[in-house]
Amino acid sequence: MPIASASEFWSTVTRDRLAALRGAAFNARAIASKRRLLDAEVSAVELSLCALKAEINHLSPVSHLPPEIISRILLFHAANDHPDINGPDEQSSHDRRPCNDPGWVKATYVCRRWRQIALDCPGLWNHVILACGATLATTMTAHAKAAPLVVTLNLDWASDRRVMRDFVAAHMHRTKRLTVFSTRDRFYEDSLSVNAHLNRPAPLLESADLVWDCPDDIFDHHAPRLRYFTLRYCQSVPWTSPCLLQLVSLKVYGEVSTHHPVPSSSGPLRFAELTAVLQAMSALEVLVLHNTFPFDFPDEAGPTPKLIIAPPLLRVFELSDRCKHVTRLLWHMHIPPTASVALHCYSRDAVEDNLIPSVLTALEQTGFFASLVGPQLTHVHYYVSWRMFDLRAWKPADYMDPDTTHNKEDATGGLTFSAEYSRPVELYADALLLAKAIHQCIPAVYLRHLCVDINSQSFVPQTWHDMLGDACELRSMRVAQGSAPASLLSALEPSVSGRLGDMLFPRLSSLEIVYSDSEAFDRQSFGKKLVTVLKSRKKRGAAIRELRISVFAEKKHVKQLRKLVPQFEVLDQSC
Amino acid sequence: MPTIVSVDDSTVPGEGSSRLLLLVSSDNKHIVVEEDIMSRSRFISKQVEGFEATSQRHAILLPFSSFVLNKVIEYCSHYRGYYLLEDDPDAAPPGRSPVREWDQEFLDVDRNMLLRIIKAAHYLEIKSLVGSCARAIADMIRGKTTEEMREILGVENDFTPEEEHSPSSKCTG
Repeated sequence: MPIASASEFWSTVTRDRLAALRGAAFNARAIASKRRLLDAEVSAVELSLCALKAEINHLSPVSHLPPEIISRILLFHAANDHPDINGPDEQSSHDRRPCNDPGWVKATYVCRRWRQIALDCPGLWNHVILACGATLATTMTAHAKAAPLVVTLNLDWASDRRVMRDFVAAHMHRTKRLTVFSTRDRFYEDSLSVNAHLNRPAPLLESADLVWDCPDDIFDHHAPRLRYFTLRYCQSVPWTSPCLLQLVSLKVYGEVSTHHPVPSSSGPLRFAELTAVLQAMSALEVLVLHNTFPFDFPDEAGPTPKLIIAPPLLRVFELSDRCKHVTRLLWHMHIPPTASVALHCYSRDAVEDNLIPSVLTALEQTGFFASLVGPQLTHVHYYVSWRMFDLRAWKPADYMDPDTTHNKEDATGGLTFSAEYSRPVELYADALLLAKAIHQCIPAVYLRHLCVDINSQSFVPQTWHDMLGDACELRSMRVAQGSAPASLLSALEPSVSGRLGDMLFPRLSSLEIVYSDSEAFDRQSFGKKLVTVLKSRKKRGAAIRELRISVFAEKKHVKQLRKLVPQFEVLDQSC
Repeated sequence: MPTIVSVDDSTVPGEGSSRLLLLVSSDNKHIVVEEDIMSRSRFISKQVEGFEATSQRHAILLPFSSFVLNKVIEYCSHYRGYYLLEDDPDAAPPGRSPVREWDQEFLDVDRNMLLRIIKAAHYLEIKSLVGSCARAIADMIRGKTTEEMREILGVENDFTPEEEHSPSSKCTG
C-alpha cells in the first residue's frame, strides 16, 4: 500500500483532530478547558517534531562520530574558551569579565546527543570559574564527578566573596590547580581571607597562583604534587614551608610598597635561610624573583656563608630587585649554561647607584662574560634613578644630568637618549647594547628578545643591519614610540637576493609596534608597507606569526593583516 | 572488524627491506603503501603483527573511500619518521598546544571531508590526526552562537521546548 505524502498525512490528521476538538465554548470555564486541550495538542505535536528532528540528526555525518571524538571536540572547544584548561599557561585570562555561563556551554545546547555526551565527560566540567556564581560552581563540580578540579577565583568579579572563599577551602582536597586573582590593592582583605583558609591539605594540588601573603602553614604543609607556585603582590613568602621543596617553577612578584605590611609569623627572613631554601629546591626549572626581598631586609654584618644555589635543571631565571640584593644573590648562584636569564636592577638612591657595577662583577663571577658559550643574557633592564645612562663609556662617573643634557648620542650612532624623562628612566638596554658598551663579549647571535624604546629618529634601515645584523636568533621584538618603525620595516624587508642569510632577523616571529598617534607619520603608507613586508617575509619562509600594533586605522590593511598573521592584535582600538 | 582477504605474494611485493602493504578501500581501490608510512596507525600495526604471527600477508580492507584513505596516507607520509607526542601510548595526554601549521593547511577542507577524515583516523587509531581534526572542528564552532553551531555541524535542534527553556537546562542539561 503506497504511503501517503507528508502534507497529505499531516493535514488529514490535523483536520480530523481539530474536528474532534471543535465545539463552542461560551463561558470562561469552557474556554479555559478548551485552551488546556489545545495546549496539550501543541505539546504533543512539538514532541513529535522533536522526534522527527532527531531522525534528521541521525542522518547527519556529525551524528556518526563516536562519543569519544565528540568529547574531544568539546574539550578543545572549552580549551579555546579557557586557555589554561589543559595545563599551566602563562597567558591566563584574568582580566576577562566572566559571563553567567562559560561560553563553551553553548556547544552543549546543539542537540540532545551532544548534551548527553557533554554531561558524561567530567573533564569538561572540572574547570570551575567562581566568578560565574556559586550555583554554577556547585553544578559544575557535581558534573565533574570525581575529576580533580581546576579552580579560578577572580575576586574582582566575584559577587559573594565569602561563599567563594568557603568553596575554595571546602574543595582543596580535590583541587588540581588553583588561581586566585584580584587587581592590586583591591580586595586585599578578601585575598588574605582566602589565603588564610588555604591551611588545609591539598593532596592533588599541582599548581597554585595566589595573590598577597600566604600563611606559613599553607596547605597544612601537605601538597606533595605541588610543582608550580606563583605569588603576586606579596611581601613575604612562606619560605619555610616544605611544600616549596619539590617545585619546578617558583614565581614571586613581590610588592614594593608598604601599604599593607604583613610581618611574617616566623620573624624576619635571614639571607642565609633564603639561600638554604633555594639550595634545597633541586628540581627548579623556572625561578622568577621580583622584589622578593622585604623592604626591611637586614644587611647582615659579617661574611655570609658561601652556599651555592645551583639548580641543575634551571632554564629560566629572572631576578628583579634592588642592586644590592641582586648582587648578593648572584654571588650565590651557579646558573647552568643553558638557562635564559633576565635581570632587572634598580637603585633607590644615589648611593645605591654605585652598586650597579657590582651587579656586573657578580655576573662576571657566574661566568657570563668569561666565554662566548655561556648563559644567554636575554634582557638587562636598568632603572637608573633621576639620571641618564650612557652606554658608550659605561662608568658610574659618567652619569648625565637630564636637566643639563638634552641629547646625547651613544656609540652606535643611532640611539638618542631623550631628556624629556624627568622620572626614573627605564632603558631597555638589551644584552647586545650593554655588551657592546661594556665588555664586547655577548654576541648578537644570542639575542632572543629586543625592546627598543629609545628615541632614535636618526635610525635608517642600514643602522638596524649594522647594529643587529648578526641577531639571527631573535624571536620577538618590541619597538616603541620614537624608534622609527618605518625604518625598521624597510630593514625587515627581505633583500632582492631573497636569501635567508641576507635577511634581518630571519627567525623573528613576534613583533610589537607601539607608536603614538601624535607622531607625525603617514599611516596609510606605513600600513601598506607593513603588509608588503609581511607578505614578502612569509613568501621567503620567515613569516611573522604574532603581531601587535598600537595604531592602525586603515580597515583594508587590518583585514589583510588578519589574513597574513595568525595572531594579530590592535592594542588600542580607540585609535 | 575489517575483512581480511588472502593475497598472493605477487600482489604485495616487498618481502625484503621495503615492506609494502595493500590497502583496499570501500570503493574497491587497491592502494599499495609502505608499511613504515602506516606504522603511525595502531590499527595497521596490530594487523601487521598478526601477519607476522601467521606468516601470511593479506590485503587490509578498510571501510572508507580511496579519497579519504589517500588523505590519511598523505598525513602519515608527511609525518613519516616524526615523533608525535599524541601518538605515543606511553606519554601523558598532551595539553593545549598550537595546531601545527601543516595540519592547518592539510585540514582546510569542507566539513563533510573533515568528518570523514576524523572517522577514518579514529578507525585507524591515529591519535594525532584525530586530535588535529577535533581541534579543527572546535575552531570551526569557536565564538559561534548555538544556532550557528547547528548550521555548521548540520544538525537540528531536537530538544523539546521544556528541555530547552527549563532553568535546570542551563549548564546542566
